[in-house]
Amino acid sequence: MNARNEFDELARRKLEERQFAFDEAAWLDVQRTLATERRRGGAWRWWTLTGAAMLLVGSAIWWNASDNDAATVLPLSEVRSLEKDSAATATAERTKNVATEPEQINGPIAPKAIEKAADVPAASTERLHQPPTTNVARLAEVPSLPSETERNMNSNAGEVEAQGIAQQPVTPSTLDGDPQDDTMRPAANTAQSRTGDATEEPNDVITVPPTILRDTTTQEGEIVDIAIATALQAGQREAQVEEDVNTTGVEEPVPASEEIPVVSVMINEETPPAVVPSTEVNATGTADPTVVNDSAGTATATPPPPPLVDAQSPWEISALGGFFLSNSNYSGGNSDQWKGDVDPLWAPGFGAELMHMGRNWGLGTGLHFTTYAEQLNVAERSVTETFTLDTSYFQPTPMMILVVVDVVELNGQTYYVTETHDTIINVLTRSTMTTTTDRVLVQARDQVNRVSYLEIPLLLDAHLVQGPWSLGLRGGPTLGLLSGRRGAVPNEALDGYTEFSEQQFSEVVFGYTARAYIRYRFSDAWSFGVEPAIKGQLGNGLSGVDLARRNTAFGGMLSVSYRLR
Amino acid sequence: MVTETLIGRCAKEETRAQYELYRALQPMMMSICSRYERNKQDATARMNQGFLRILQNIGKRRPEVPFEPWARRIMINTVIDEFRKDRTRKVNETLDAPTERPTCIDVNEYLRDMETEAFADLLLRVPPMSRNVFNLFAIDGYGHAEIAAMLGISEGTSKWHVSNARGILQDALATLAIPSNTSAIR
Repeated sequence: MNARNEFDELARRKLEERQFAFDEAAWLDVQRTLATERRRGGAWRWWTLTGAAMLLVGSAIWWNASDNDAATVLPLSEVRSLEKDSAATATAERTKNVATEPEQINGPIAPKAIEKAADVPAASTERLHQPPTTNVARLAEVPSLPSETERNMNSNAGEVEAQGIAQQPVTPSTLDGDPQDDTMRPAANTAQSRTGDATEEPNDVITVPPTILRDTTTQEGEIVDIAIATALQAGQREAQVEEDVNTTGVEEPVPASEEIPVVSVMINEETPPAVVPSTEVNATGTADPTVVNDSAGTATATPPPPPLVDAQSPWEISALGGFFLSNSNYSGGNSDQWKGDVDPLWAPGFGAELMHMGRNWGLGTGLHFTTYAEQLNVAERSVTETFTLDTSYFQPTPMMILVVVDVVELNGQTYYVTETHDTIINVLTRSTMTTTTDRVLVQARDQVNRVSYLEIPLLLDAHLVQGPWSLGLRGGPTLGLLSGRRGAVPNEALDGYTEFSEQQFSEVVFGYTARAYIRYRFSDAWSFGVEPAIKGQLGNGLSGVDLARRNTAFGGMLSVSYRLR
Repeated sequence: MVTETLIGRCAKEETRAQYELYRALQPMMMSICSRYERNKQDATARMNQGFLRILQNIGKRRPEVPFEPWARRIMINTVIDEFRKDRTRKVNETLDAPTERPTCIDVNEYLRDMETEAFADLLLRVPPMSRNVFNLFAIDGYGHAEIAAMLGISEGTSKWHVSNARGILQDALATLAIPSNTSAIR
């Protein structure tokens, strides 16, 4: 080893000889930082989960809303009207086999009829091209719809027209009409057209009993009369329906037994679809694909979907229960010294809510019982005090000394005569006296603290419904009323504990609650849900001291909801 | 004594285990930090910072890696990272030719008998960059290539800093040793 390396080695040894006393304060700093990071980590996880849930539900709501823009979902009354159409057509199919002769409606269409057919409103001709589809499938093709009231009225008017026509007296002679007569179909179309004008809805379906059609073929001059009479009756019935709508707001369903078995001649499966070019239909711009009066496919038509939210039952009550991991954040009052010893703890939470639910939004309130719990695990805290005292004293040390007792000169030489003497000499000595004292600052304590509140929330709800499933977010501010407390925390002097029963608490604390939910409707009124939630307090739970306590809690609840009828 | 059980409990974030680990590592950590930092407060802050790093990474340590060298390395990296953040220190130092002094055996003898704290105080007289490089090279056993990579300097610069620190220390020791030697002669 050369000299330089020896120097390095000596320096290394010298520095490693250093001793460092343990610093309790430094550990407290570390503990504080660890507690802060733990809380941050926990909060980050929960906020991430909550954010993801909100993003998911928000996206779903947006998707649902955009889907509604593309294809308007029919309201309940429209669906009922479609059901009636389907039922009427199916009945007509059955009637056709009994009361009409198949060749009367299956015959070829003469050129003259084709020419007249081109004059009829587009809705009538379009139906020639409509493939047999289900009502549900056709709904998606609706580009735009008139208002619900108009649709109900027009739909009723169409039915009433058919009934009005059916109620016309039919003489036996009308049954003798030539079913192959070219004027038959145009006449029907004309009547249909005029009836449509009378109801201001050219797209409406006019279903004409075959007997009437045969009648019109024999007396063409009566066609106009029948049509006008039909229109007048339809107009009267329309006014009646409008009055009904205005008074009740809801269309009364027509019993199936009262429906007239009708057959629309325009819905003939054997009618060549090339009679009217499709471009003609498009050119009219009045085609109304919502008319689903075709008989084809109606026998196996799927039932219309149930309404998403029935306007008659907006009120919903819910019962909730679950567990929350609550975390208490203390500040002030020397809490930095011990708040790292407070750990989150699970506690139960219950609630009941009453909500007024709309299609996608809701508003309501409720009553929640929340317990914020924490585990206080304070280790015994002591301080080691070391006192050092440097002292100097005389240390008696036995020694032997040489003493010169005489001087003798011999032959010019000087000789010293000596004697040895044993003696004791006091040697000045320095020493350091060290005194170490351990002093207990806080006794160890391991206990559970619980503070309970009755919380009254103001709840806003955003949700969407997809079949029996509901996804939503619900939350809002809360008003917490203190209902119970138990436990203790170290006091401000850090020499003992303050029991919660002796600690002054705020009787009212403002807070918040938010949760995401997914619910499954297992009957018309009842649904069951799983609801991850977060709640907390915005204000200080304590009063009258420097110490502040704010609670947050994360957890999940199960819910049972009932939609009032 | 740091056992694998204790390390496992620390990985599970048990407060009591963390406290025990802190107590066990504190002399080593403080020994390192006090060599690199000028005062006790800074050294304590750096030690806590390094200990938090140890706790954060304790779960990632492979069992076959000895714990104490691993923790030591984390601590040194923490100190050096902090040093590198403070760029102003580099600006204030110039690379003058190190003062070459003849190696004196008496200096080593004096150092051998010297009080530990006195030598630690002497070390603080060395400029920060030179002190850190000397610490890394002479005390912690890093090579010049590693030091150069850690501090973003060249190997030649690293060697210069070691030589410079050594020269300053020996000069100071020689100054202290002379009165002692003189009195011995008298």
